[in-house]
Amino acid sequence: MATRLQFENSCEVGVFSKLTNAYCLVAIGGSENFYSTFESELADVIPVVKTSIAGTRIIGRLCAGNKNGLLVPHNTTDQELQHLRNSLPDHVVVQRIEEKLSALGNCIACNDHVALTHTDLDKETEEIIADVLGVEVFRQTIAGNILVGSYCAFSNRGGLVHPHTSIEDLDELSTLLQVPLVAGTINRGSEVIAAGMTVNDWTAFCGSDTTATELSVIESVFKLREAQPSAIVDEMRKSLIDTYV
Amino acid sequence: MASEHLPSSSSAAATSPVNWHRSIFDLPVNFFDSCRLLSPSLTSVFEPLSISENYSSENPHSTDDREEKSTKTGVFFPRWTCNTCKAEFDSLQDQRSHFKSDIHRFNVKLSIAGKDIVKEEDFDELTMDSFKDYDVSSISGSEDEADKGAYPRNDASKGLIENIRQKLFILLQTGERVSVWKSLIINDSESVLYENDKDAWNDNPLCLRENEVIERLRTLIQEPKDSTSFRIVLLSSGGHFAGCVFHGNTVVAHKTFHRYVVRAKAGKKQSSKDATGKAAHSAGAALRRHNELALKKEIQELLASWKSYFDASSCVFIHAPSSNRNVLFNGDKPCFSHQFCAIRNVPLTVRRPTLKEVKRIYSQLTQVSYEVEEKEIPPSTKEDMLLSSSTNDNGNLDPCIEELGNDLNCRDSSKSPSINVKSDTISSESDSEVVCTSTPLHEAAQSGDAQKVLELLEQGLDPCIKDQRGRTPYMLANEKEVRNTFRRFMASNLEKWDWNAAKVPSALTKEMEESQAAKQAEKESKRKARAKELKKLRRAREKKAEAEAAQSQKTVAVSQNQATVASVSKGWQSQSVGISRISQEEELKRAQALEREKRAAAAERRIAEAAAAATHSRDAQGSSTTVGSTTSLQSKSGLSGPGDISCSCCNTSLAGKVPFHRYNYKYCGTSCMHVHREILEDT
Repeated sequence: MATRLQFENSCEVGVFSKLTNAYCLVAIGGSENFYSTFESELADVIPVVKTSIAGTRIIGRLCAGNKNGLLVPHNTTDQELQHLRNSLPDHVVVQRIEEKLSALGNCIACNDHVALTHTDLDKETEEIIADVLGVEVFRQTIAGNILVGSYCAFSNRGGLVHPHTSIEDLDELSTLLQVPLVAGTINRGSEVIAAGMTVNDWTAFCGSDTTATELSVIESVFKLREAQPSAIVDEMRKSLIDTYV
Repeated sequence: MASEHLPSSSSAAATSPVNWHRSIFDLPVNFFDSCRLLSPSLTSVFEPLSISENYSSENPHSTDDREEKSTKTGVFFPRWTCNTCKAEFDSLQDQRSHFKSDIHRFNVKLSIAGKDIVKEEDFDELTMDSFKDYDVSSISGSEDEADKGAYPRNDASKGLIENIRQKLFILLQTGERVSVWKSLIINDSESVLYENDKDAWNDNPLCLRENEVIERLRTLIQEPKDSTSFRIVLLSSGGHFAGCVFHGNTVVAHKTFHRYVVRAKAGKKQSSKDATGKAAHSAGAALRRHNELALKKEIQELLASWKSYFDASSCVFIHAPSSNRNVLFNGDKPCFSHQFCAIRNVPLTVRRPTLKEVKRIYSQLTQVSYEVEEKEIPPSTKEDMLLSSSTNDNGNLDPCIEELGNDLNCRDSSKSPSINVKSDTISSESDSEVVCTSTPLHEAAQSGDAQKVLELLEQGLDPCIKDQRGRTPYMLANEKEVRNTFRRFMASNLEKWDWNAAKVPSALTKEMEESQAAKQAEKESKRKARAKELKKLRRAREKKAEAEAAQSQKTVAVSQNQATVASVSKGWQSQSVGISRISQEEELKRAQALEREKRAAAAERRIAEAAAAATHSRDAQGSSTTVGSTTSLQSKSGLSGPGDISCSCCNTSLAGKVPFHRYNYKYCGTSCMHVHREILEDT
């Protein structure tokens, strides 16, 4: 299910958190409320790690990762790197990248199998992405924007892209990535999709400005409702039985 | 148009309709029969690139066809297309490999910059000759600064001129013009004697006559295919080395090396950094120094093992900018045997040395490219030029070509900006889409000549005219005085021109200038007053300090005098001041030494204490079983001050170890860290 929340009165939750199928990173120092929302949703499944990257809280925009690995920019401190390595599961490879474009989250969009990247990334970086994250790397733009990491968010089950993406591009991208895609907005019309939300295969966190319509689009394209069918049926049955008895 | 230019006798031309570049080894034996060498001033400025552009623009229907097809097929879900490159694919595999390719990246960059995309066929030529700004980094790799410094990226016109100087232009018997690189047949020290300057160089032995050049070309293409005449290309730069032995068009042997020698981010090799006098002692620096030596050794071993090839080769092409030359040469002597072959420099721009690059360089060097004739230059350019065309005896040629020839000739003597402007106009006019050109006003503004600008404006030149890059004279003005001239003129002639179109932001009236000057003067006076005050303060402070120093010296001197031998005669009194100063210094030194000793003793005591504590805690751990609870208590109270150096879990001393940090805690190992985390989570 998709959850709406805020980080210190900011709706850009994708900026302050990073969610994958194997771990969740949350910015350090925010109100405990933000952290505990993630904790309550994810605690028994994947580790929720509080961290900073390069001394900043905008961790979602600085790092890129999936269940196989995590890429952090060159300005990440040794302590942060050590902390991440200690806190993340052993099978997750944490790698620091020497790349002049340091906002990796803005330059790389990926799920567990494919990645879209900024066209200006080094060839070496591309190889590291392919090796560490175990993905095929494609260089593409989203509706003419080179910051692919900012303007789209996709999991293994679906994806949301910039609202100005044409239908042809949408078809092409979904063929390329092999996931169904939908063009849409987040946070009451914001087009920076990845800044407004963070998603994995069974849950999503959106900014609190996200409208019900946007939320329903997200839940349907990321197939979040089907994720826990038993839970939903249980809920329904409870209410049904309540009225029935 | 394409087939018209190709010789009908050649078989290669029949197979490919647009073969503008042909390898010299594929030419028929009689290719250069009764041909004539053209001097560079007579040849066209058109390069093969512009030909291919012409060609692609003349065949627009082929791309239209493709687009039509794509629209006809309509939208279907598995869409194996690339909308950026306007391409369709047969399978997902093809599509995915396309999205990883360099041409796709290149096209994405072009489309973002608002340019037209290129087709795959043209891609190689384009990345070779133009679009330098959109360099595909994965092709050139992460070139370091040194490399970029070594080959400044020429602007288009300069590149053309360079190319013309480096090439030989030949008029064939069929009436076509072809060009080959000079260095293919001519040594660096030799030069070609053209017909029109026969008298100048008559007795120079290094000058080749036309018939000699053509004879060389003929022997080149008649070279027996089974002989052992090799050509060797050696490229070396930035820790990369690539060497390749060619026979005709085939590769006989090749080898590439790469070593880490270039300082990451800072650029340049370690040795060139060391040469500046500031030698770094980091591990990386040592690594790079070692690698440089190792690379040199590897290359020299390779060159030695290739001796047989060198002995049988006719020439060696070398590209080794600046310090890379040391790798291939010992002083002036090459590290390989060269008595039978000539050493020539590669006249092309060389990217990172790889096998692919060597092959590209070689194929470029050995190719014959067809040149387009001057007749295709639109005659309208004559009027557009702001030049006076000088009369020349070559009446059949277009004036702008002569102009370029003149530019070429006088380029060494005068490098005034006006020549650049001229060649700019030429190169842009060859695109035949020029609307306006730069005016004298542009030039005056750019050169910062305020007086000239004012004169020209008063003469009535239009400041709204844009040059070929869409800039008005005001935009070109670098200096404030020139810009002010424009604004002053605007203030006096507000109605005369459309100043908005001229991009002049606002008028500068007399009053405004005066008020500005007044403001400036006020500021200046304030600053001066403050400086004066500061000076006064400083002087007062200095005086005070001096007085104090004198006071203290006097007392010291007195005490010193008392301490020294009592029987000091009055004649020595004058020297006592100097003595006292020396003894004062000695005292200071003694005090410092004492202090140092004290500190050392304290440090020793501390170390001993820590050691004692460590042994003590180890004992405690051995005896008690409730370590966990005590440590958790300790950690709960947040005890981990700066002096506290023991593991937060097992309490062993961390003296002499590198501790693991998590939050405020320090651990001796990861196991302790995990145990402690669990303890913390439980409580």
